Formats: sequence, C-alpha cells, structure tokens
Amino acid sequence: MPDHMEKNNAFNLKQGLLLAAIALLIAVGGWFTAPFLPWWRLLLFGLLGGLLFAGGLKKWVFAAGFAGGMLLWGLHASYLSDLNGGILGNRIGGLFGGIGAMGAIALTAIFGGLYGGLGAWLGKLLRVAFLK
Amino acid sequence: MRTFLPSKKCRKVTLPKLSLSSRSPRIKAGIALALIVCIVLISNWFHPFGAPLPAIGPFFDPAKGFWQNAEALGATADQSIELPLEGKQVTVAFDDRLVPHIFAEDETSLAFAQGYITAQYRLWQMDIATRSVSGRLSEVLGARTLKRDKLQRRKGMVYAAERTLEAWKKNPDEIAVVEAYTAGINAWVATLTPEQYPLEFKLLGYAPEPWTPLKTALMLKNMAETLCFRNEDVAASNALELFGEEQFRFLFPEYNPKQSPIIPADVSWNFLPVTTPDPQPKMSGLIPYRNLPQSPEGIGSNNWALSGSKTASGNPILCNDPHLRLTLPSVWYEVQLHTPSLNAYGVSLPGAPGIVIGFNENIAWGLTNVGQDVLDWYRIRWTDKSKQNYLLDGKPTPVDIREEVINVRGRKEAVVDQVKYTVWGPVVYETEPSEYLDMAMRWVAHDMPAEGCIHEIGMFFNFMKGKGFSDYAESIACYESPAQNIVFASGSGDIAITVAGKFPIKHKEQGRFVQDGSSSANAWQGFIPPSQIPKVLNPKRGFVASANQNSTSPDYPYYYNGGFDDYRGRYINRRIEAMQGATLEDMEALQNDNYSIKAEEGVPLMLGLLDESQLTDPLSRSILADLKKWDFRFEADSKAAAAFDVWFKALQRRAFEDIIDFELRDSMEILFPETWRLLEMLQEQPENAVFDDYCSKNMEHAKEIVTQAYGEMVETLRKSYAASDFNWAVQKGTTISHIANIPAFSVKNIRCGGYGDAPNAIREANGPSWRMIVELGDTVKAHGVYPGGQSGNPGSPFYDNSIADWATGKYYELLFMKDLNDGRGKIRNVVAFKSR
Repeated sequence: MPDHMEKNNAFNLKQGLLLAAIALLIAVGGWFTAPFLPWWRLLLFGLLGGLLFAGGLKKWVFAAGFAGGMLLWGLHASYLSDLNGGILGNRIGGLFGGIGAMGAIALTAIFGGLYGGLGAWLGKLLRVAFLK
Repeated sequence: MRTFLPSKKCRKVTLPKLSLSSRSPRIKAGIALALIVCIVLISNWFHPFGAPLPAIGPFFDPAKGFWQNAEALGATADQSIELPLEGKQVTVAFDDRLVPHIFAEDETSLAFAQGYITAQYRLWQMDIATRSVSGRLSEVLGARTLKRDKLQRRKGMVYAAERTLEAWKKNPDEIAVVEAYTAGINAWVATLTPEQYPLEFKLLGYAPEPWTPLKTALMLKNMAETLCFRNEDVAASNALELFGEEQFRFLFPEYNPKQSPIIPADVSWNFLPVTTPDPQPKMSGLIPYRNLPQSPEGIGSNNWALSGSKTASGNPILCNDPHLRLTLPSVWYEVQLHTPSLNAYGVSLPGAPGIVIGFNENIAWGLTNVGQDVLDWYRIRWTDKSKQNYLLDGKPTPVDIREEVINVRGRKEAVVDQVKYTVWGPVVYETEPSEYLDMAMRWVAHDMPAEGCIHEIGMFFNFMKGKGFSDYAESIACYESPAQNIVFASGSGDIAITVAGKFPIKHKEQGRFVQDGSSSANAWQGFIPPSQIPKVLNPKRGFVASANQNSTSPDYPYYYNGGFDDYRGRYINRRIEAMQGATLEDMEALQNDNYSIKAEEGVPLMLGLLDESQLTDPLSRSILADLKKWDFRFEADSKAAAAFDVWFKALQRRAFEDIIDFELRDSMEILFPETWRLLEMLQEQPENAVFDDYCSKNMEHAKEIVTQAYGEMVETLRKSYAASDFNWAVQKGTTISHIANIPAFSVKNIRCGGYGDAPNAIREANGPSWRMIVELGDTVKAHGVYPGGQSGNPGSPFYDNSIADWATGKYYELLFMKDLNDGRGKIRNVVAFKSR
C-alpha cells in the first residue's frame, strides 16, 4: 500500500472516531440528561462535542452532530410510536399535512438532528476561535 | 489533538470557504452563536411568526413533548398509589373499555377518587370547558376569543355559577362531595410534570391550573347554556310588528294539533293553579339586535320507560339517549360508583361528581331537555347617556356594576368590561344606536337556588342511592335548571316521568316577545309550585316517554312557550303504544330507528303537489321513482333520504325566504314558520298567498314552489346522485369534532344513518351522545354505548374506540359489578388508592 494512502486511512480513522465521539456524546448525554434539561440539551451536548473533539476536524462536524441528535430523537420517537401502534404519530402527522406516523417520526428526527448538528458546528467554531 | 489535524492535501478538498474571512474566526463564531441563539428563541416560541404551531423544541422533544402522550398498547400493570384520603382506602378496577369501577368506603372518598380518575383521563376537556363558559379563553388563546369571552361575561355565567355554589355551601352533604371531588382532581394535577400534561396543553402552550368548586358549578351552567338558553323573543317581536296580529297568528301557531305530549292527554290536573294577572300590552317597534349564538337545532334527546306489562320479562325497562354536540373527547365519562350504601353505574359529566344518567340495583333514571322558554328579554330605558340609572315604574333605579377583568395572552393590559345588572338581570346588549335603550336578560339559570333543599349534585347522589319512587320524587322536588324531563323506573315496577325544573308563571304569551323593562308589571308572576309541575306515575298506557316535545296538552292550566320537537316524540309514542313483550333488542332497535314522521307526512304531500309533467330529464324521473319507493327511513345507504332532505330544505327556503322584503329580512332577526306548520299549510291551504314568489310576475301557489324546489334539488344533486357511492351517509357527512376543532383529532364523515327528526337523531355534528338501555329486576341488565372513548388523550387507543360500534348501532353489555370480585374476566387492571 502506498505510503500516502496509509496515512490518509489513519487520518480518516482518527477523524471518524472524533466524529463518532461527537455523535455519541449528543446521543448519550441527550438521553441521560433528559429528566433535568429541556430540549436544548441537544444543542448543549453538540456544543460540548464540538469544543472537545472538533478542533482538528475540518468537515463533517455538523453531520456528526446531526447524526447524534437524529439517532436519539428518531429512535426514541420510533420506540414510543411503536409501543403506541402509531396512533398518536398518525394524529400528529395529520397536524403537519397528513404525513402519518412515519412522517412525525422523521420530523422529530430532523429537529433532533438540526439541534445536535448546529450545537456541534457552533462548538467547533468556538474552539477554532478561542482555543486553537 | 493537534496531531490529528488534516494534511494540506485534505485541506484542498474542504468545502468552499464561507464568505467570511477565515482570518476572523471569532467573528464567524460570534455570528454562529447569534444564529443559534435565534434558533433557540424560535424553537421556544409559541406560535412562531404567527403560525398556529406549538413551540417546536419542547413539542418535538420525545422525552418531554407530544410523544410522551403516546400511550403504550396492551396490558397495564396493577398499581398502588398513596393519596391524602384521611385513613380511607379506595380500589378502582378498570374494565376492558377503560371504564373505572370505583369501590370506596364512603361518599367523600368516592367523590375524591372520581375526581382523581376523571382528571387523569379528561383534564384538558374540563379545563377548556370551564374557560369557555366563564369567558376565560383569551387567557390562553389570545385576542381571537376576546369577543366570545366578553359575551360570556355579559351573559353572567360566572355570576350564575357563584350563586349555585353559594347554595351548595348551605347544604353540608352537597358541598362535601363537591370539595372531595375538587381535592381528587387537584391531587392528580399536583402529580403532573410538564411532560405529563395532556397533549392539548402542550399544543396550546399553557399549564393546567387547580380545580375549584366554582368550576364544578360552571360545568353545570355550561349545560344550562347548552340546553335552556334558546330564545326567539327578538325574532318573534319583529315578526309580529311586520306581519301584524292576524298574519302572525296564522304563520306561528303555538301548538301543533298533531302533537303527542309528554304527559298523556288523559292525565287531569287536580290542583288549583296560581292566578295570573291580565296580560300587559305588548311593546311595539322593531328590535334591532341580532340573536346571540345559541345551541344549534338537534340538541335534544329521547327517553322512555316501559312498565312490566309491556316487556317480555315482566320487568320495567328504561332507555335514554341524550342528543348533544358530538365531540372528542366525549361529553360523557362512563363510571361505576360503589360504597357500602350505594352502587350505581352510568355516565358522569367530567367536572361534576356523581352520575347524571344511570341506574343502580333498584332504579334507573334518564334525562331529556325541556323546551320551555325560561329566558326573556327586557328593554331597558336609561335616564341619561351615562347609563347608570334606568327607569322602573317611573323611578330612576341604579344598576349594579360587576367589573369583568379579562386577561388576554400576548397583551400586557387586561380588558375590563363593566357589566350592568338590573332588576331583570345583566344588560347583555349595549350596542344600539339609541343612547337611551338597551336590553337586559331574565334567565332562570341566574337565580339563587332555593334554600333548605338539595340541588343538582345532591339530586344525582340521591338517585344513585335511590330505592324506589319516593326517593325519586323527593330528589327532584328542588331541581331547577336546566329543566329536564326526568324519566324513572324501579325494580318494584313503577315508571314515572316529571317535567322537572323551575318554571316561571307567565300570563298568556308573556316572554314570547321582548318586553318593556320599565314596568315591573312585566315581571314573571312567580314560579309554578313544584306540586303543580307536569308529571305522571304509572300511566294507563303502560309507558312514559319524552323527546323534547310539548310537556302537556294545551289544557295544562299554566301558559308556557318554547321550542318543541314535533316528530320524534310522536313516532316513539306510536311505536311503544303498539309494542308488547318488548325486549332489550327491541329497545336497541327503537333507539337506532331511522324512520321519520316528517318524511312520512311530507313526501306524499310534496309528491302530490309536484307537477310531474315538468320533470323531463332522466335524473329527475329516476329520483322521483326512488322517492315513490322510499320507506321514509334515513338509512345510511338510502339515496331517496338524501334527495328528500335537499328537496325539503329548498322548499322551506323558497316558501318563506320572500315572506318579507329581502332587505328587511337581512337587516334583522325575523321568525320563520315551523316545519310542522309548513306541512300543515301545504295540506290545508296550498293556494295561500304566503307561497307566492315576491320577485316573480306570476302568482305562485304551493304546487309551483314544490316543483321549483324539486328542480333545485335535482340540480344540487346532479353530479353526485348517480354515483354508486352516493347515499344519505355521504350527503350528511356526520363528523365528531375535537373540542378545539383540530381536524387531525376529529373523526370525519362517519358512515351512519339517522336524522334529526327520527329517533336515531344523528345529524352532521349532533346526535345520541350516550345510548343506554336498562332492564331492572332481580338481575339488572344494561346495555350502553357512546360515540368516543373513555380517554380524552388523542394518543390513547381508548380515544375513539367506540365510534364504529356506535355508528352501526351496536351496544356493550355494561359490567355492573356487585363487588370487586365480580369482574367476570373483564378487568384490565386494578389501582389501589391508599391513604398517605
């Protein structure tokens, strides 16, 4: 394997781990602090993830945050909707233009993703601006 | 971290740089921070940018928002809860339809548990209903409900509830259950964290507040407003002024000779009536006010009881189906209440303790509304423009001012309205161009309830404990408002019905028109003594029944007016008259009967007048063939029923829309003849000038109007009638709306038959809100169903689970448990309330 490619892979692996750490911090932190913190906890953990892990990351930070928030809210909503047989999801979907239970879950996941992603993005920018 | 910095090679493939210079990362971060602060604010913003949306962040958060209202399907575990029960214990068994069977040690712990459980399933409904009736909607909905709130305050709804509560407080037993019920609701409210709030609180962005006994009184005033606020004084005054005495009498006779009254005509009145003074001269002049919003037509009910001589089992059977606005959450909450001294089952009104319509081991009771007019309007003559004094018998009389403070969401300053109370009641109308004339309202529901006796809540608790006729008769003696035809049956074989309520003594036609409020001679002449109100026990015909028709035949010694039904009552009486060996199934069939005497009488008359030579196109002929074959049943799949409905409405409009100059008609309220009178005129005077079309050159008679209306009907149905899926159910489009009119939480276009003038009175938005059939005897057998479900939560499988069965006329066997072990395999879960 050529030398530069090996280097790239190493970088990608490290970057991947950092990105995963951001996503994981949002998902895990968002889950365990739910009893104490309101919805903006995703922004908060995104911010924290960005500050801690995004210093060396040039891209995909928003995506990692998005993935963390999306996974947490999407899976949580799917789980609750599944237990409920989609009754409430369908009705809420009806409020948002008849998108059904799946649509309501998707919308929840997107909002979770946005909050996680925006938090991480801000964290990274703050780190670059103040800690680098 | 630095070691992981991407290489230069990687940097080349990074996204194009933002327009902001990379040399100023702090500016970039600052802008991003500002952006995110904006996003936080927007996400927390209720109705962002004016859009009708909840605050997005909290609403979508699965750990806090709407997803928390998604109830898990399947089994529910038994539970034990500690509550402030003062050493008592309550056990609640929920059955497979989520009906709670509450077993308590005494009435106060029973009422406490009923409040707790009802709030658990219906809290938002209770909150919004009391806000709506008391004029407090704007506090949570903003300025869009301000007009309605002001009107509710002007109508004195809180004033009325305060007086009711004052009367309850004088009766220790009555106030004790109301306070226990309140404490139970508040015990539930106290457990709630924001994520547990009912869904509508999250959607509308406000928090539940504690319940009070006043709110229970408000719930009953809400019922009074629904049931006895209807009045036609202004429209009748204007009609009399415009048509003149003779024409008015011709168009608007007060009593339908075909009527089949509630109290059979063979009952004689063995009492000396209170004498009334001679009628006062009528006030002349047109009244410029528009009607206040009133309950729509179709708010009515059926009830009847058959004596054992008419039933297969030899036991009495009692049936009741109150017709109200169909809503989700449902009007009623089904419940069984048990203490060592009472065991009752039925439906309760969320917000009030006890059972309103139901039965126990010995008796059953049911309600229909009394149409008698108990709300009259009086013109007020002010002494000057300041409107602080009005003339009464020539003397200036000061008004009492009640300051109404309305808080409005989104506004810093509260709106303050000064409502003026006269000897008649509140001055509701105060907008007339004249600065010296306004209009005040005299309403029975405002009156301070009588002292020294029980009231509504006490009456329902007495029914729950009742053993026989004397308990029933004593319980209703003081009942005042809203007046109800209270039907009764007992296991010992008695059946009875009472037109129960507080009824003003009126001279002839008093209260039919707006009266002069400057003369105290126009006041009601007192009230009909309770011993003289219409009632009957065990009539010869072997049944009692009511369907909102006239209480009595015209020989009843007291004058009364009002709005009465003309078709359901006649049909129900006719059917039961002919019945022998009746079973529960026969009763179910009668409650679901879609036959209408209006069609039975109207169709032959209208077909007889129809000029068939003018019907040339195939659709006209085919509808005619359907109508000729029609059996007058408003079944879901009937096409003829849809055609008749459209035809009749067109006929009614064409017959009377030009009864008076169009401009005049549109500028004020004018009374229009009743349906039965139209049919009578078609039959007896088809050539009367009333049928002439004001705008055409020719002279029209009923024949032409009927034929024109037929043509209009054909054009209305031209595109739909021939379609294979077109029928009466489609045409009617019955919808059960969420209370806040949220379409996604409503059930639309339910496939069902029924007609306002048939026993199964399902209309577009009103209908049987509870169907109950009870056979008394050694073992009580009871069937029931209502269009909704026990839970008010749109995220619950019990939100609308009974609608399909209700629409197709199915019933549930009601689980009337003797004790906690009598669950018959139908108990879903048990909750034990232990004293804290």
